[in-house]
Amino acid sequence: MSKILDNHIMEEPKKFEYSYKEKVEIFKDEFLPHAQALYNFAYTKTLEEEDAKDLVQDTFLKAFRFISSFRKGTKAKAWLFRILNNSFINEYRKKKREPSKVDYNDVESVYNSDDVQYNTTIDLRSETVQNKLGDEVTNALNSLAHDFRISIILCDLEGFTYEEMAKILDIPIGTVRSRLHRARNLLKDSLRKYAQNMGYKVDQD
Amino acid sequence: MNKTFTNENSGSRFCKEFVEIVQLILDDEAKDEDIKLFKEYYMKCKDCIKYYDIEESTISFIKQKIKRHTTPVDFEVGILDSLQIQG
Repeated sequence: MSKILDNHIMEEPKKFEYSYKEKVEIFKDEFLPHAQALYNFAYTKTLEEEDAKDLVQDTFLKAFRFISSFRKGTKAKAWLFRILNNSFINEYRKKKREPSKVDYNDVESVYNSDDVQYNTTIDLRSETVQNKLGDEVTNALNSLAHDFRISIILCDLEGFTYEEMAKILDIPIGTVRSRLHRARNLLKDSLRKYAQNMGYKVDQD
Repeated sequence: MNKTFTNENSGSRFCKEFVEIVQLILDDEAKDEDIKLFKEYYMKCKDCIKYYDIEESTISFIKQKIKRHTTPVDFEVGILDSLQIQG
């Protein structure tokens, strides 16, 4: 079986036999409804509309081709996200220069250090700040390093569990936790700076 | 666990542990023992409560404000066409 579909998402590495009609039904009913989420995930990865479109199209082609590896009625979304992530790693990055990487030793040390204290928190509760920052969140998110913005999207937008994220990204759960923690702090920091530049008073105690 | 936790403990190592647990609590990933500690000890510390409130509102804010990029027009139809599946 293709490495792309080696079965971390599904519980059993089993083949399922479907008729063509069943395949089409699964595709339309269980895969296609995730097109929007997949496109957003692809866009968050590539930051290019055409590349995102190609990546999603490629994901759906692979999903249909290897549909016998998918058990009808199980978590199609996580399965598709994993295919997309692997396609991005194995194929997209070969064509493009790799996005900037983050030294996770640094991340882990920050996460585990005493520096992670209350004084790193930022109070964004003010209604005026929240309204003004609405559009800015996307910009701030896109300015994060690839692995950090992906963590935010998978958890805070798509609602995947840590375990699902670990399987999609093929990383340990501890790394999911630390990336997410760091990503949120970076995002908060970015939004706080923006709010301050806009003249809003932002609590930092 | 045998530890006392009052406001005098603010800034202690227990509060540092709390920083890690807050994320798990807010993401609904905490174990039962963490939830117990959270309720019995940490939520008696005013600094921990403040930290929790800010984290909760911030994560909630991020979740509310992040929006998906919309797919191009007829995107799904294009996918079906490429697979030669009738939409």
